[in-house]
Amino acid sequence: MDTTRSRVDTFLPVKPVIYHILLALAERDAHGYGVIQAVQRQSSGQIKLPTGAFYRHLRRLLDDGLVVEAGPAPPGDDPRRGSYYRLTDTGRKVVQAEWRRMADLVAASRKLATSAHGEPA
Amino acid sequence: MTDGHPTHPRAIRILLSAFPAAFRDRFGASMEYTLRLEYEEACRSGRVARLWFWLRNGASLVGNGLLERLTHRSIGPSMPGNKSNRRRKSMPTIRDLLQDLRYAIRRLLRSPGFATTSLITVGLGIGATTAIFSIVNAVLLRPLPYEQPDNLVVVGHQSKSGESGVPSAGWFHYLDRSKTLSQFAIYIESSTSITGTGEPVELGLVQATPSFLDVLGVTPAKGRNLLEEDSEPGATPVVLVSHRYWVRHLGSDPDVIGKPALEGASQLVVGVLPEDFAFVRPPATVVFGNPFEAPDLILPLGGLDRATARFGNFMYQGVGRLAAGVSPENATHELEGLMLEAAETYPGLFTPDELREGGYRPRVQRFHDAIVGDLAGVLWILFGAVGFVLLIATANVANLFLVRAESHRGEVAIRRALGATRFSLARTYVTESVVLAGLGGVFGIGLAMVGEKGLLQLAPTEIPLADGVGLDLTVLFFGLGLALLAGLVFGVVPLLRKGSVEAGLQGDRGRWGTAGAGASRTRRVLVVAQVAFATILLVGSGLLLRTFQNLRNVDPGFDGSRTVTLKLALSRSHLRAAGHNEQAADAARSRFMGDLAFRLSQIPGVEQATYSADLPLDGGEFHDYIAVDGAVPTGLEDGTKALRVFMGPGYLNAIGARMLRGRELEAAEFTDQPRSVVVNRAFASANFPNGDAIGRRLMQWAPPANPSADVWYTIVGVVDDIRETSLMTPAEPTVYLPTIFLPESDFAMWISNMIAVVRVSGDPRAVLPRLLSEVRTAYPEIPVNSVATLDQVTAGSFQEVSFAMIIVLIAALLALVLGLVGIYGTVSYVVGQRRREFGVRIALGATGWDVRRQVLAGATVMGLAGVGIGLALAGLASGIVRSMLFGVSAIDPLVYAGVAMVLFLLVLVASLGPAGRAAASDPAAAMRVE
Repeated sequence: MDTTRSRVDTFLPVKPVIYHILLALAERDAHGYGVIQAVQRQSSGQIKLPTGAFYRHLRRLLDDGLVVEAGPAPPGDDPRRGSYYRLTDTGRKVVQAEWRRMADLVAASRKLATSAHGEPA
Repeated sequence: MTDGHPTHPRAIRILLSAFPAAFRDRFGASMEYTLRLEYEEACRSGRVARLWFWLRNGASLVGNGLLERLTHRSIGPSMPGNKSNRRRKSMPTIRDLLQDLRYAIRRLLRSPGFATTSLITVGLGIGATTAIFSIVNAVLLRPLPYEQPDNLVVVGHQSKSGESGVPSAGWFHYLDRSKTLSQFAIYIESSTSITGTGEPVELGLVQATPSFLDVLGVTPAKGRNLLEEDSEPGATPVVLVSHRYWVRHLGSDPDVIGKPALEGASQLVVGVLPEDFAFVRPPATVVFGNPFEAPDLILPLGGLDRATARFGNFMYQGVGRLAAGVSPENATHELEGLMLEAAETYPGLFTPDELREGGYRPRVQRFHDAIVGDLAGVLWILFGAVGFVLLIATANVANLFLVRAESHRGEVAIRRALGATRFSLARTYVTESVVLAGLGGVFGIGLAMVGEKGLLQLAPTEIPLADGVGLDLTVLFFGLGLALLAGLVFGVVPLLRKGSVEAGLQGDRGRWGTAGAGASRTRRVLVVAQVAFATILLVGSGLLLRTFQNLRNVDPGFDGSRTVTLKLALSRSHLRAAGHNEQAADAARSRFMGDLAFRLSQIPGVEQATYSADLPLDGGEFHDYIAVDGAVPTGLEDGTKALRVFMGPGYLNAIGARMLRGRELEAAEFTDQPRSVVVNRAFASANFPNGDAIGRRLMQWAPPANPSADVWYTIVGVVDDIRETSLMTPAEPTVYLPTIFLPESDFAMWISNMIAVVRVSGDPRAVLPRLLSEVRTAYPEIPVNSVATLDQVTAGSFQEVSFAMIIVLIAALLALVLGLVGIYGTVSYVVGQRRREFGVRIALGATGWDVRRQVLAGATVMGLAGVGIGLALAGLASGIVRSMLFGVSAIDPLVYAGVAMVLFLLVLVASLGPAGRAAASDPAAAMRVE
């Protein structure tokens, strides 16, 4: 339990691009092209992952065990799409941890903002 | 463009090959799938999106692929413990980098020989490339100093007699009717001198229509622009002055507006031009006086009147702006129709038919194209040539780095054992190569700055925009960028080789025999590439050298070294103004030019002055059909096509032509009778192969003219062939006639081309100013188009070739030296590695010659491969230079064979030293080591 926790911590903070990829896979299993598109949708077009960079990220996520290849593709799927990928349990934990970290940050910022407002001019 | 689809899988696969094979096995297919979908999407969004697709993915795939190779050679699930390790690896801190830098400098200082050789090699490559790039940058890439220079155009006309400007009637008509030109102004350049308190000062003058500065997009720094009412008759004379003039002659007076431009002058200053206004422009077709850099004064162009304007006298320069979305071709096309209309709307000088006969066409060219002209092609070729030098230099240094990497195996092993990661080792070496390349880049840029001054002096007399050549940020970034790129290449090449870093782990296993087969192969490939590049450059310079030689050897048939020419833009109104108010324009012309020639002949230093309608090798020819002696022509096939040159008395002597038989025309023959002509050798031998041409007769005969006109001319002399059209083509049959016989219908061609031809006794340049001032005094209203020695007029024929030749030759010699250094280094290294093997062979009974032969055979294979590949590539690329060649085929066997021989011999010579050392290997020493 404790080891998993500390292992998850080594991934923090997660780069925004990686976070987007993990989020996309948290939503549903997808093949490479699907992830790239989902990331673009999620970021309202802000992040367009170039294919070369995406697959290096993916390779690292696979190596680090945050993502695994999902089972066989749905029947009738274009085989050229390649494997579908799925978030692992660790991957999911990393997403949650990063989300908490960011939420803490936001909370801290908000506190600062309110206190700044509250001060007399 | 749907035809992009079939080609893209290959392009994508090539890009994907940047990734390691293991990575491709794992993700290649789905990456390809993703890229294909993205590509199709990009195709749907248009060309820009498609271009963007390639740029973005090209960079991303190659960049990530190389990173992947460097950081992650073996693929497989990692152990959890490795995690933090890898993170650090991909994110080196500034401290790491500084440490790498220190280490790199220390290592370089430890091997000064290696460092110096690499530095000089890289420096030469980058220096040569940067020098040419600084010219390319200034001349071709940098935008002109105007607002939106892309739609700024030169408007003019061209005809059989060459390029000309715009008549005032053309300005009125085009301005009224053109839809392709959104703005259009005309101007004319002249110069004047003022005498104030001290020395007379030469001032540049531009007289222009009001919108002139608006078209250029220039706003006065002070005061106002020219206005319509400034050019109206009776308006207060006004002038815009340059910043320079304002400082020098008006004492930088802040309240200068409304004051006279000169003490006592009637023109009032209404504006001051911005300080940075440089009037960058194409060469003018008409200049009164001396050409100048930038005008000091801009005045309204007066005397333009719709009511009296006649379409003709193409003396003004036209400058305009294209309407949005219009190309220069569109505009030219539109003006073609408008020109004929203009001739009808403003009649009196040309009928539309005369314009067509004279080959008159409007010509709209982008400003930049008009300035640069044909030079663009030459510059790109030269840029390519020096690019090869840089490639060779890079290959050479990559080779040196390979050698070094080999010898550092032990060190690598120790560092690995002490815990250095693969990435940090790679970083160390790349830092070293980048530091070295950076220093080489600085050195090279320094060389370029020194060298380009020399290059510009070699250049044809005027490289347009050459003032801008020099070190600016673009050139600096280019040079340093190249250095960085080169540094990455020769830093990374040794690392990419399979197992290069790993090899260190196995320690020095190269004690015996052929150490590092992989390294040795890479090195040989680099040497072969160097030889191939050097071959290409040598072939190129060989071809240009032969072209140059051929052009030099052509006998032009005249000697222009002591002949000065002045081109006058002579029109009917000028003739009238000069008092030749005759009906017959031909007589008036000849008389006018006769008067002018007489005036010029009175100037001290002038031996002889005459005139003509044409000059050799100066463009603009008159062809006609000629029938000879007695035979009344019945059809076209009876006539001989011949060039006609209309000349004044003594013209042939004045240009230094050689009479073969008979005599030149006498002054008395420059009247209607007795119709005598001179023909050239080509004409005589074509028409009178069996007899003397002297005394025979010929007839100008322009079908379908009535042959019964029966006007015969008697040949009184034969002159040796003069190259009239081009040095590159043999002389055509030519007839030399008095200008008096110039038919009236040729008048159109003739008016903008009247040339005073003057033979002087001393240095032509010394007499030139006096000739010019004589013309200006006697006929102030006649524009002098150009003043030049006849040699200058004709020199244009090979200046471009000689410039290109010298630069390609320099590039080729650099390539040769660098290539030989590379071969010498490689062969030496191989010999050093195999010394023990050679020693053992000698101990076993081989002679020194056997060993020597073996080494030379190795070098021969590399040399042959390099030369062969180089010749093949040169042959494939020969189309690029074909347009610059003369008298030699682009695949001239002599040049190719010569280059092959020379290179091959040099390869052998470079290997002789190492081969000798191999032969001297000491068998005892070899055995001792074991």
